[in-house]
Amino acid sequence: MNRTGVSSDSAPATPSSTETTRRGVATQAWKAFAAEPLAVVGLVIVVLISLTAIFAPWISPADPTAGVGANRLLPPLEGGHLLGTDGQGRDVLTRLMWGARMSLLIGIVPTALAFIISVPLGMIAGYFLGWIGEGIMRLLDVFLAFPMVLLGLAIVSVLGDGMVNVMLAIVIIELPFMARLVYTETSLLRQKPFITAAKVSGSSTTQIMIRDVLPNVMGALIVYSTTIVGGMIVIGAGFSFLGIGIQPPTADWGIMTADGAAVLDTSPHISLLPGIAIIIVALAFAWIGDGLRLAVDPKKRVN
Amino acid sequence: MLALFTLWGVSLLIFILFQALPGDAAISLLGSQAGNPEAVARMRSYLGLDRPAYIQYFVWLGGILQGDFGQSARFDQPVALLMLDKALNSVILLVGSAVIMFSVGIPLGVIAALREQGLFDRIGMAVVIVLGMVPVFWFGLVLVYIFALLLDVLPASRMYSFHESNRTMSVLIHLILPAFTTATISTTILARVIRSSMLETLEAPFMQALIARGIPARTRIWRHAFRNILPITVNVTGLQIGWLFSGAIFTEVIFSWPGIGRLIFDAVSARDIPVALGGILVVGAVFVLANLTADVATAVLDPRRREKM
Repeated sequence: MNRTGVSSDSAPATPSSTETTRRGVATQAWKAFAAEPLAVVGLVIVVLISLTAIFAPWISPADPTAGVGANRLLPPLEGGHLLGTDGQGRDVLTRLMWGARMSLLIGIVPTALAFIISVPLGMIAGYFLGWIGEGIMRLLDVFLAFPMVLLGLAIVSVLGDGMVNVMLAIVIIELPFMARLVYTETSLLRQKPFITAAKVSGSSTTQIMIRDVLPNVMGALIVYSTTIVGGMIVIGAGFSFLGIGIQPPTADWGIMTADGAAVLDTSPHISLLPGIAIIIVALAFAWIGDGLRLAVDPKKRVN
Repeated sequence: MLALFTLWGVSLLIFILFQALPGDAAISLLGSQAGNPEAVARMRSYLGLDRPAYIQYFVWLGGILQGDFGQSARFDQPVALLMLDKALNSVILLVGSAVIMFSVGIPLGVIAALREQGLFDRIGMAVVIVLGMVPVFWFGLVLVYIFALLLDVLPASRMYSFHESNRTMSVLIHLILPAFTTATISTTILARVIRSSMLETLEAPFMQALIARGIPARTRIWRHAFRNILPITVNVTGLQIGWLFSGAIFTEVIFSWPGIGRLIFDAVSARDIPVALGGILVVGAVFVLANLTADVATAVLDPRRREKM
């Protein structure tokens, strides 16, 4: 993950007064998004995998945690198992489906939380600047200066393993990046004439923040959040792989990869398939993010 | 200045994590004596746990500045000694990865830029984007599967084999797969940055002027254009060295490479917190210093930036 994905040039769209223009903007944004083939592919993948995750209990062919001892390490297509079985005789396809639940939760829930926290934090720091802004941003910079995986490791090593703690670690990993984005956007916005106009017309600071700053910050933040979901899924799976994240026997793509490592020579599919699933989901979120970047950029939206 | 502040912040962060730990170090150290309140009190005062937290912090920080990271909870050894041993192995891995990053990333980026939208560029960049998303731990297993199990040409774990007489050669052979695993993501980032800055430079008026003056392509590209993208290359490299170090944790676990990442991982698994946090602190410091070095080196290489500083 690099820090270059921060776009700071989104020109403030004039607040639309009527519902029709607002719908017009949404349609234009959707058209810009739909014009990107990869973005649409990404969206389709994420929708399909989300559906799989939601309906896993009903559509998965077997039990995700209990295996049949006699069916250990079957290669794909054998014994009625489309993608084979693992070392405990569990159906790999089933575990992949259930694993999608974990990966999506680990990717989306912390990102949503970090989103909600970073908006007020970054807006306050960026709008007031001064010692409040400096204080908040310097504090977050410390986290920013720390390698992500290690920061997560440190947090998990103290809090202990388990899904909630991994999510917490990911919120702490993401927050500095997202708050910095909001901060940068806000500090650029506050010098724009329309903010001055709002001040002159007697709007309170809270009104300006919510009505004028917030909508203009959202675009860039939504794009960024979407883009990093994939990276967070990879990191979350990494924690599970190391055995300090989600714990067995839960079906998780990181755990599955680790499970298969010992039998890599005879049954490579156990380790290799979940990794492919991770890459597909991560790519899909990155593509959606790229599409959204075009969709929220008013300069690209003409016609 | 900022780097110093950050380092200090990192140390504070680690210390707060130490403090947040559930349980009492005195009780866990005493073992069977833990029921005796007098012994606990004595141990607490011996460890300095009865002093206020901020005093403890300065004592701890003072110790670290003198190379004292405390005592491992698992082994009867100082943390610093445990780390020193492993750090060298990590540096070997890091150097190997950096060599791969440069020797693959730079030519890839430059050639892709020269053939913009050509076949090499399209395929190369597609591969780079996919590999940039690959989970390190999974990619390591893929390499093991292909090169150690299917082709059986490279060793899949440990740093050297005992029965080989030439130790250096053995280490080099064992280094190949872990180094490629560690370097992959950073290589893709370097290649992308080089490609885009090279494209920008090729468009610059001074490049047109060189063509007009009849300077041969090779000289134009490597002596003039490449020199222009050197500052950004160095900057990205500095950042990536830090990432390599933290990405190495997965590599060291998969390949049983006895480095500091493996040490941190084992410590976290065994809840040997002094070792875990000490290791994380050291790697964090390396990360911050690598960033700082990159900034300074960029300024040295780029006169425009030097004036701004």
